[in-house]
Amino acid sequence: MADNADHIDGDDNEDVRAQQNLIKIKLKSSEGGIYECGLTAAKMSDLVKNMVESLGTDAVVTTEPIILGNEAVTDAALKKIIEWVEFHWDDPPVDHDFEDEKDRRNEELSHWDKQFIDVDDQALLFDVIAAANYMDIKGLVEVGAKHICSKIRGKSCQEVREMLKITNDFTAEEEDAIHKENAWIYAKD
Amino acid sequence: MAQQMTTDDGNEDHIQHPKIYAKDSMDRFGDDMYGLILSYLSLEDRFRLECVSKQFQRTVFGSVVFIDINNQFNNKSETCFKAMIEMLAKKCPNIQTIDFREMFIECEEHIPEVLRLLRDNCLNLREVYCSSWEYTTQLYQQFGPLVTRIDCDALSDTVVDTTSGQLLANNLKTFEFYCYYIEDRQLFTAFVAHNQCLKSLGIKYIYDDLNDTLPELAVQLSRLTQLRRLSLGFRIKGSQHSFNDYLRTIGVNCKQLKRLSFSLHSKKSEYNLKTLDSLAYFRRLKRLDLTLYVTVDEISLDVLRECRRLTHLDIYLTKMNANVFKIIRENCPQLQYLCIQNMNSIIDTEYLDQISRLPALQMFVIHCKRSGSLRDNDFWDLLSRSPKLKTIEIHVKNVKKFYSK
Repeated sequence: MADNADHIDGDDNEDVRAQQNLIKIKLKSSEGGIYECGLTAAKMSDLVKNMVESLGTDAVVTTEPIILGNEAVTDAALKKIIEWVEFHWDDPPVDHDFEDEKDRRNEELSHWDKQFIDVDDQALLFDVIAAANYMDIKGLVEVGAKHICSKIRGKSCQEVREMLKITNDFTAEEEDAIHKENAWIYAKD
Repeated sequence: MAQQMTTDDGNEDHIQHPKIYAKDSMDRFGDDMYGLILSYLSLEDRFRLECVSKQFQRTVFGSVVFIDINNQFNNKSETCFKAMIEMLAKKCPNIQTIDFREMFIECEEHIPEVLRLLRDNCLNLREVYCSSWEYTTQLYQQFGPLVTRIDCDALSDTVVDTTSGQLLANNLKTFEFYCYYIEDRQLFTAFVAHNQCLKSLGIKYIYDDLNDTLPELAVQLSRLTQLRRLSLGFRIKGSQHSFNDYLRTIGVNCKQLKRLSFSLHSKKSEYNLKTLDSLAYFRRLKRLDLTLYVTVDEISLDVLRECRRLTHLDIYLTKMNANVFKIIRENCPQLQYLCIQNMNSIIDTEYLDQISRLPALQMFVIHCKRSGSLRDNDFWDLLSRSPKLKTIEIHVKNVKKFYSK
């Protein structure tokens, strides 16, 4: 009997999630832009989820925009974030019987995520990652982080500095010392 | 350009005057965020890029929790191996797991020394994975409690120390071995008694006359009540067997089983129907890999009617027909992932129509020899018709094709 009960709960939850995503809430960027987003999708952000739940009734939620004050949440970044959660809100929930989260770390990004995150404007890319981190959307932070790591894979230090615009604050001597310490990486015999 | 500048996104309150960084520079991120981003780099990249900047150096090693010796450091000499381990121990204090299973370089004799170094420096080291080799005995004696996973060829390689006859493998979480023979009966009984908390077990090939091996094997397996994952492969020659009772014993007793891989190679046709019937007793199963390498005209998957919780299904059948798709569609409403391998038969739009009616399906993978009459449009159409499908992956003769919403 317990088995059946579990089942019905599962199906119900799916329906409720789909129903709730028809409710549109408003999200306000730090630049003042207001954008609509499905409720279930928006709740992929733990920050939004907590805010919505503390506000209580749906009526309040749909009229007053939720203010996302962090300056990384620009209009452009928020639009990207909404695109991502609207695609991913119905992803299967994490199944705690399996180590999916651990496995996912090692998986390549999906085709859709790759195309989504491959933006030319690096300031926007960093805004999306920082904003996703502020809004507490772990899956999206992971997509951004994997994208950056795949871009710098196999590159030299100088190439990485140029690409990610990182200031080198090591002296030439310090850099040499680290290189020597790690010399074993290059030895192939 | 003013809007192109930003302050440090990290919440570092101790910085009184936040510096201004360009928005397109990694320098804008605080250490936590920086470390999180770099946590997806390979170990080799981490060491190679260590001197990019001080912040990079400071944050790049903290997230190293798992070391796979094979992946990162093949083709290295013995001196290199030791140098590398010393560096790891020094720079990566958060290592939790080390995987020596696929180590091919001839440094096995150094493993105990290496492990001691890592254990003393990495206080979170909890799990060591290894395969069987000459130094296994020594390893067990010194690091027994750390060894949680072993892969080996035969039970006799790991279960006992051949010289003293002493039992070695204790309290493992995961155990994989290649062949099970009838002579292994007593060893396996001893293994089961000492590994009651085993979560995952894989036996690749079970040979011999199964009338002899199976009854005892089933009894022992059913004592491993903590099992979450079980993988069994059978090679059948010769006479009539009845799997049904034995698999039922396992299914009834191992109540925690969530994932089952079952493969059956046989030239006779009468086994598969009975075998599959007993899957009904694996009530909590969510993920099933089924390989039926049998010469038979029609395979009945009616038993899937009992597996309504399945979220992942991977099937390899020698022959496929529309009825199989129909059964899956009617009985697996929670299916998120479906992979069909070795489609000899030509798939047509009728099959795809069944697939499109799976309400929770997100990913559909087919491996087939010929793509048949289906065109790109048929897959795009499937993608648009099915409620949750996001990706279709088609492998035809090593060529991979994606369709994605």
